[in-house]
Amino acid sequence: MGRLGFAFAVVLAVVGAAASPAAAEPYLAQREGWKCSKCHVNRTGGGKRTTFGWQYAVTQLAAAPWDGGRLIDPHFNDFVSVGANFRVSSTTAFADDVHNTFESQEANLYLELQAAPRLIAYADVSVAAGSVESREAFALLTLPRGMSLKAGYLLLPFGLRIWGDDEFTRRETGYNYAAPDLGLEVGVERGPVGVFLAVSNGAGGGLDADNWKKASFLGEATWRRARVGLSGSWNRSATREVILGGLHVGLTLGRFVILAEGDVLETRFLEEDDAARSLLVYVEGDALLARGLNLKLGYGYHDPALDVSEDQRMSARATLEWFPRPFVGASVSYHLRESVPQDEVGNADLVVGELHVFL
Amino acid sequence: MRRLLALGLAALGCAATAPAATGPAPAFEAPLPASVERGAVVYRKACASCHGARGDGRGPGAAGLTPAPRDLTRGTYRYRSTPSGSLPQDADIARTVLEGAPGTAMPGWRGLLTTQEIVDVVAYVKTLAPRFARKQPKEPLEIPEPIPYTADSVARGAQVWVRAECGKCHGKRGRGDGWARADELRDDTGQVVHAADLTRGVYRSGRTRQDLYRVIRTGLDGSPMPSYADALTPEETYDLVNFVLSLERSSGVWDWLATSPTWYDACDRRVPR
Repeated sequence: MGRLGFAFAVVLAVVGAAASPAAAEPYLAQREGWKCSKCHVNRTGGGKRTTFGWQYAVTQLAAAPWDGGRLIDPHFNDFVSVGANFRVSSTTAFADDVHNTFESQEANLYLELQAAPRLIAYADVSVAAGSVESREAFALLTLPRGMSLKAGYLLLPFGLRIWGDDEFTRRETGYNYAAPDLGLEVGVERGPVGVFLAVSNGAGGGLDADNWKKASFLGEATWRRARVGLSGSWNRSATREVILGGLHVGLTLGRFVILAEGDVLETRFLEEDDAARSLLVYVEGDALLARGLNLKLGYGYHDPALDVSEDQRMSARATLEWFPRPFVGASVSYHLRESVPQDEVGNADLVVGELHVFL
Repeated sequence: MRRLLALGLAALGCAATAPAATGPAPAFEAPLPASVERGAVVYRKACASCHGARGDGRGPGAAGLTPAPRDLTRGTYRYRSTPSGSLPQDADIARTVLEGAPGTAMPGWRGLLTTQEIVDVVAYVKTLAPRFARKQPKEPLEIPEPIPYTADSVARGAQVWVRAECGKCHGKRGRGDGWARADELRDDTGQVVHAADLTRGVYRSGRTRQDLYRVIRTGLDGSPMPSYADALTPEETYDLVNFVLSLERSSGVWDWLATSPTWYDACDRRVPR
């Protein structure tokens, strides 16, 4: 491979790593002191917005409303409603050479059918980059006393469902928008507490090849200015067992929001009687500079093997997000990345401009 | 349509910047007569998630909102131009829909709903409370021109403040730290309510001096805030308004840092003195 070809491959890999289907914005929930389920049909966040979430986008999120025009109402009637997230980005990667590319980071359409008073059918379909893929497709039964039962193709509960699958806590744990799974989720939300337990195939979204299942857990307490959550996961196959534990917190101080998550991932290789432990950290600070204008500073840390020194990865990002009108967002961000010397992709800094249209 | 909306807003006294002449806001013209059926569609889109499909204030989005969304089936309205105990005029409901209630989760829909949609949703909201079928709203209060904001007026207002015992709930310096701090104030649903912190300059039913005059004269039905229409003369009421305005703290860097302008303080704009 020539120098140009190698550079091109690096750029493709970098852009691929930066391609982060993004929907949920936990900092908004933290800023308002709400649970994810207040604004999203998926109770653990992301995807289609509830009527309340749509109203929040219409009346509060943007710098200014549309000027007297008639709004598109995504709720066709009591039974059918839709939603969407479209993001297109321009990414400039600073590897050995500087390369730029446009990309459709996300093009998701959501459909919610109210089949019965407490039963909905939900579909989240990605139509980005010329392919059609199902991201979520489930039936959600809402039960009395804040309980819910969800079955189908799910995004599993774990940690903060932050935007950006390229953050270490999302990418390395496997709990991200690119990794839904087939299974069942039971949830309870009462008062400030929400608890979700999912059992799924644990086979990367496919059919299970063994009799082991993957268990995922998320428990979170949400107050007006603070939240704290615990997550856990266990997944076993014939050759290895993956155990994951995490703690996340959120704090609101006036215009400022702090979110932090720390996860420990242990992989046990059963045949070799060996194990590897890694540490994942994400810290985010958000400042509401003005209505509709948010400054986000994020920091990620990944130590892939705690018993090996000098192998840590780090990423820091500064993002300015602007919502000039309801359902329109634009952002520009700089990603500073550091990795081991031989990791060309992980060491390339990025500048990403993004346009986001949603409903 | 845009022109009609502008006309409607002007009639309602809801202009964004100018301290509009308000008080008994007259009904405004929409292209079509009010339609309960169309209003139901608007209600489902804009209101039901918090106020509930039946208007009982128990919508799916109501959890965690403080204060809780109003139970519209009771037919008790805080923000009115009509005397205490009366039903509101249509324009009173429309004003709350358009402007929201700053300091609460109730957003303003100005610029987001058309004049026709406002007229329709007001018609629908009235069907949620049986009280509207039995009674008619009383005539709105007359609201005179404000007394100029002067040191003399503020001094007279301070005396009115003491005489009317406003500080019992709002605190000696208007910070909302009177009885309310002890959680002794409750609304008609039994929920604990807190007296307004008047030093913040956030007023839930409008930010002109006429709006404050109206609130003092009509009271806030369903809340511990009584009507002072019989206790104070119009002049005393405006003196009290001017005193209340004098309580506002100037916004500093700390206020900017400590206050989130979204949702809870979305309409935090100071009253022109």
